[in-house]
Amino acid sequence: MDDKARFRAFVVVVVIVLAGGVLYTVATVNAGVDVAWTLVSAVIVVSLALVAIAVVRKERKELKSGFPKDDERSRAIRMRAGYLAFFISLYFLLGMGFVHGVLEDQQIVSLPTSEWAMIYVAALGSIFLAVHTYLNRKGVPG
Amino acid sequence: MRTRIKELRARYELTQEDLAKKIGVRRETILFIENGKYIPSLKLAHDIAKVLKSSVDEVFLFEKD
Repeated sequence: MDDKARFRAFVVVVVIVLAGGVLYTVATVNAGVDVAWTLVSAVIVVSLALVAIAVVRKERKELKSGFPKDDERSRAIRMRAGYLAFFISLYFLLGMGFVHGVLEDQQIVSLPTSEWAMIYVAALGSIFLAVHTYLNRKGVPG
Repeated sequence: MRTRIKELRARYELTQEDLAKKIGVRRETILFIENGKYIPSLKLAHDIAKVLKSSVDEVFLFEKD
């Protein structure tokens, strides 16, 4: 898939996600759900739309510049960031297990496993983003 | 590792953008290679040397530790 086709596919996915969000928000109004929930979903959709507009504009600008979106350096950064994020996240996982153990020992109600898993995935993604940004600025060690 | 990319670019009146477009990489990649912050693959090094009408060892200078 070339850069233009990838950009078009990205825009289609963005439009589908935003349309789904708008439909969901409208459906909550029609279903007579709590107003607070409708407001929360509207705020989420608007935030997503703002981020999407910024990302699509940036991608379009890059596409017009004529430079490839991906090259060997960006692939090297992605590989390195994925590798480092995985190992750092293992330590985070150990920390989560420790916190979970302490909470259970103190007989404090801990989170269900599914929520711990979501926290782990969010942490993994954040670590990847942070490492990727760092390597993109400082360079990949040879 | 040091490079003579900047000097050779100036000789052939090429900007970082021009060189990047001719090779098919992002401008940042040329910037990082010039500053010695990224060591390119053999193929990329060869492509850069070719555009700058030089050999790889004329463009990339490896110093002994």
